[in-house]
Amino acid sequence: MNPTANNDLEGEPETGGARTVPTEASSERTAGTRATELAHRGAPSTVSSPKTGNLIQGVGLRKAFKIGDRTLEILHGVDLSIRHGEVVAMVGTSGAGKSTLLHVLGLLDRPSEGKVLLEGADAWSLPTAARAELRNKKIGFVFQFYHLLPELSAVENALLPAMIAESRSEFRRNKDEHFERASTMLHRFGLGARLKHRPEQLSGGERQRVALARALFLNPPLLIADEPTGNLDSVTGQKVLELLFEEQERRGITLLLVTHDERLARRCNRILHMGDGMMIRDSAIPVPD
Amino acid sequence: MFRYFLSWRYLISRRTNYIGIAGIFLGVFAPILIQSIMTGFLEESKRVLRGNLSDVAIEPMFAEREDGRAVETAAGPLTRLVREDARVGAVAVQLSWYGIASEGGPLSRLILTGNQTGQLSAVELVGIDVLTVDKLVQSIFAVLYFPGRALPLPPIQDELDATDFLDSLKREPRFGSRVANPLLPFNAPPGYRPKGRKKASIIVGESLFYQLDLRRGSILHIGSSTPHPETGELRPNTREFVVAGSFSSRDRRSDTDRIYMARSELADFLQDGRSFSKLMVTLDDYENDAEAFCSSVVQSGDEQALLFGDDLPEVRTWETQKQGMIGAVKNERVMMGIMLGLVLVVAGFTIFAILSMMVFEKRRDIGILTAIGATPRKIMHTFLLIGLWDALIGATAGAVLGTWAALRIGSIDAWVSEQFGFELFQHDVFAFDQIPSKVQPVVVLCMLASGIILTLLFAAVPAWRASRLDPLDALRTE
Ligand SMILES: Nc1ncnc2c1ncn2[C@@H]1O[C@H](COP(=O)(O)OP(=O)(O)O)[C@@H](O)[C@H]1O
Ligand SMILES: [Mg+2]
Repeated sequence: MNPTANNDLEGEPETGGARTVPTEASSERTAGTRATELAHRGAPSTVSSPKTGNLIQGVGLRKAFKIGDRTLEILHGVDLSIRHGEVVAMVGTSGAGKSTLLHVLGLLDRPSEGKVLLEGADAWSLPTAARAELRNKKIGFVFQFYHLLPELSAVENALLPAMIAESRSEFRRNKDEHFERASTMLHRFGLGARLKHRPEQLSGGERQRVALARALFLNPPLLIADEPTGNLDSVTGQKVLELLFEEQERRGITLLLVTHDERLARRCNRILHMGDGMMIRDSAIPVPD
Repeated sequence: MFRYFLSWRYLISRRTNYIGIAGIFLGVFAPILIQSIMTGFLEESKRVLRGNLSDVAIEPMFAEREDGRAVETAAGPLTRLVREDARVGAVAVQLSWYGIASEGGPLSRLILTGNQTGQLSAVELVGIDVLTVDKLVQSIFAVLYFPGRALPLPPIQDELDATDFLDSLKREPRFGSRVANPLLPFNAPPGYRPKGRKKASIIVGESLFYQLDLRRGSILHIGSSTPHPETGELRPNTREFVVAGSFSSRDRRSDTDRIYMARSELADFLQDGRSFSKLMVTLDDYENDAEAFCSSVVQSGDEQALLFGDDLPEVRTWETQKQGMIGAVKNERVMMGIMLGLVLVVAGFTIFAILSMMVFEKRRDIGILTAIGATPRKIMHTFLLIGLWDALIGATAGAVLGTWAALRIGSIDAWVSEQFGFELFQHDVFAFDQIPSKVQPVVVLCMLASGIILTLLFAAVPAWRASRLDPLDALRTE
């Protein structure tokens, strides 16, 4: 990635307002407002500025799976809280329950016990549709296996969250803007020549970049990435991670990243150590000066 | 928004969907086409079967009734009774009897037995009134004496008013030869100049005309035998008639064994004291009035001893006279409808199978969509929409092309015969010139609607299952 080249393609959020074409930044401000209102309705305590304090909290999270007539508990009561703008790495041996915890926090898998507070609201007690809207607007999820829709082009995959968020008439009205935004984003991610390509025509690294564009499309405050480079060779993986950190910094969003790479984990503000379904250590990384 | 977009994308990217669409297409196309043909066939058969029958025939049994009164043998009172009924359009009197006909020469034996004993060919002799001259006189009288007013007399009516006989005289015959003037059909054929007494004219059904190798002006020998009015003793009668022409009623049977002549001539020939055997009645609104009219005639005819009564079928609509055939066609139409409905059900199952497969195949996509914010309801809609597109495309194409094919069946038939040299429709088996076909908009709309509704019903189950999938099952692994 060459950070200086990016400015030719798209202005930084601060300068975006001066451009005539609708930019990523301008529509980012509107995206997710409804979801924000929704989240706040359930959380009268969070009256302070949303930019400070806890963005997401896990309280006494337990998760058990039924296998036949046996139940197997994977998470044994996990507590954690992540503040706005924090960059958190999660490490732990394979099978420690990291993915399971991420799915619970990402509102994909219901915990057997405990609460997930997203901007103060108890997300798992909301109705299904409200929770779906939170997933759509508040959380970006990057999976190890990319998970793109094979029938859609790179651009279409990237703007899928907008397609889900908007009604037919809304989408038709904003269509050009969305396409413009998605292609600007993909250009910046180094996929300028791959916009119309299907996932099967893309390499692993390219796919993961499209997946990252999708996760960031509605500019959610929280980005969850579960071993995003687990399927990539180290060089490609490194480039994707650079991009990930760069975007986090640009947007000032919260990042929760599972990784096996200790060096990488050290670039974060904080490291959570998972072991056997429990949070065994929570260590802050001193900011190198 | 993604629902429309994705359902359409899935639809076009999966070839199997085309099978579903084709199934629905056939399920809508075939019933519309076949039902149109069956309906056309039914209507055409009715027309053909009806031949020269009127809407209703009243045929009293002339015998002593249970109350001791004899049934009236003159046509007058019954005719008056019927004409008083406001539902009646026209009434005509007929006299009929059976006889045998031959050309009176060396071929007689062959003709009469059809080359094999036991196949004696009897003909129906029908005496009718054609009162064109009287009508003309009446209208001149009306114009002269009651200008601009209604005549205080009932207008004269005859066979030409009450039945389709005039049409069968005017219709281009397949074999045979039309009478010189259909309005005066019993005028002697042109060029007929007999030496002795002038023979009475007859009009012969076109098939019989052909079989007997007749032409206009031929002499035909007719034999019959009637009971003596008092003693009941059978007496033979034979007479020669001159052929004025042929008629084509399109009813095979009457075209082969019917001979028309003036009613007075037939009465004179038979010499059995009868002057009428039935009334032919046309109603203004047959569809609605037939039943009520028949029962009211039965009742008042019984009261006035104009009918024998006692539940005899003396008053019959033409359809009850030809009930067997019409019933068969109607029944067949229902059977075909049911069988073709099954095509649609099979198409529905195809959709069910295809969509179930697609839901299984797309379970990872479903997981992804859920993860980025699609609700289960919207996932369900997406798959329902695939079914809806299938249904809309298949059913609309089926309805449009089915209607088109039904309307253009004649040219399609001609084209097929020309291209492949074989006849779809065997013209001589049926008495029709063309494949009959009548498109009923109700049938088209029903098939269109049921195609769409049925498809959606069959799509509902896989769509519902899609909405119930656990997104993580699909997302955990590659
Ligand atoms: N649906 C499931 N049913 C049963 N066991 C599961 C299920 N999902 C995960 N597990 C188990 O939970 C444990 C933790 O899994 P996971 O959260 O994926 O760990 P990690 O991501 O840290 O490697 C593993 O032993 C795994 O087999
Ligand atoms: Mg994992």
